[in-house]
Amino acid sequence: MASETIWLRLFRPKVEWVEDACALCEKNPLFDKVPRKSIRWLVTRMHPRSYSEGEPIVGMGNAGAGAVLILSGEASVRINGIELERMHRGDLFGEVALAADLPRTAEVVAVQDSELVFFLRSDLQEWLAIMPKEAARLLQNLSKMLAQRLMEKNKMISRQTGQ
Amino acid sequence: MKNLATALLMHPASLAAMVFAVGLGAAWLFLCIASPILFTLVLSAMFYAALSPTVDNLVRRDVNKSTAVAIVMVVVVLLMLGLTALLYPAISQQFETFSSRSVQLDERIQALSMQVDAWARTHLGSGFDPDQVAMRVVQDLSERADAMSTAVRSYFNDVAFSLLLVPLVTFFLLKDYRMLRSETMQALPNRYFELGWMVYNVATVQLQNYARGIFIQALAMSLICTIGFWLAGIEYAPVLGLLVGLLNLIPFFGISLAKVPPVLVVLLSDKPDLLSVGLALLVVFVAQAVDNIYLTPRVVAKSASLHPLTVMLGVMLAGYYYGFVGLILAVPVIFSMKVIYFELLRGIRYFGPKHVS
Repeated sequence: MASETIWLRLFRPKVEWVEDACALCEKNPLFDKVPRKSIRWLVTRMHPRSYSEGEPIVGMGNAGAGAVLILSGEASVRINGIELERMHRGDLFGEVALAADLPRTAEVVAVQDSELVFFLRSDLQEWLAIMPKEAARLLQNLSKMLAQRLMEKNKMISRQTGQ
Repeated sequence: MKNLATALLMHPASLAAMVFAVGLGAAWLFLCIASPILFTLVLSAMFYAALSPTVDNLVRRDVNKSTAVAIVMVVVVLLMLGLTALLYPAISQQFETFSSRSVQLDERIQALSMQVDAWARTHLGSGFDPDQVAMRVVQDLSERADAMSTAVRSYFNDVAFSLLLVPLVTFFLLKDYRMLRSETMQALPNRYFELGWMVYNVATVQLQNYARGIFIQALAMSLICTIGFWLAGIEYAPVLGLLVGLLNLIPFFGISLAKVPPVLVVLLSDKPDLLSVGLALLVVFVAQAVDNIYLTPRVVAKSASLHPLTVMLGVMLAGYYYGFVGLILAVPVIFSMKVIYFELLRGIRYFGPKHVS
């Protein structure tokens, strides 16, 4: 599955991963209080991809088109080759790219053969146009997550400067 | 030397040019294969662009996607049938009038050339043989009219067949276009997946803005001219308005070409007079003034930024190779190619994978 060819990728049936991705999204804080029906509608528009062990998923400095949800496998978040975090099934990374066309701040590499789902900024924009209320809820959750991360960084910097 | 060749080959501009050339080749191949149904596809794509916001609106109101598409299509097909039933008698009557008049065309041209001859003899001191000129003009016109009528007849036979397919193709585009697009993008390799989507999104937004701009421009020009010609009492006002709206889209040459059809219609009417010619020209002048002062700066110029020399050469070449259709489509095609190439270059230069193997 990880090293599938273009023609297999073209005709792969979608349904098999949709239920799984819906269940994982429902548990993720980004989709907090977003109706189940809307999550399903959105997930059917997401993009499943397969990565083999050692294959880079996102490159540091490259612009991001969206966030990535891990369906199976493991991924390592690295900066200059130093591992910062391990991501597992159900984890979502690269959410900043949902908000803006900014360069990725770290590199993410698949450490096992992995099945991922890309949630692109263009999907979110389309969703915002069609279901503005539900999409606004997700944007609210996203801003909460990013604000929380900013606070943590600030605390870390103040701790470091305090030492 | 080998390093230099590799560096040149891996330069973002070369990579973008290669990807662009492959894309262009694929597009050309598609156009060659799909040429028998190209009209159907273009018309369906236009219907898709016009109707998809309505389908989205219904989906937003909790209507199932397939039901929403079916509702919209039924309404559109009924509207089109109704409009055809209403407009057909009026159009066929205009055609009948036109054909009955075309029989007297030689007499009119003879009268017109005699008037011009008299004017030339009075003001310029020399004239010509009006009978001979009229005969040549009538002969030339009848040859052209025969050729055009054969072309139009075969074209309408094709169109009539294509029109049957348009609702069907539009239905499936409305229902499945997004899925088809996603499935096509799935063919991209992992390392170019995000880049591919970003280039697609930016290029699509720019092209949509441009297409919307020229559509608004053509529609506004056609409406102003139709109303103007109608108020001035000039015949065939809607057809002339539409023609002026289309001709006005041709850069540089359109501004002059747009004045020819209304003036010709006035000169070949029952009572050709200078006042009607002046009114016809005034209507086109007013429409072009509105276009230059309001429409072009606000609607079109923002989206299309092409060098005048590129536009001029492109229009001349497209006109030479593809005739009237080439003149109309030259700028949109050049603009699309420019947007796609520069978005590819930007994507590969700034956001693409750093180590392309």
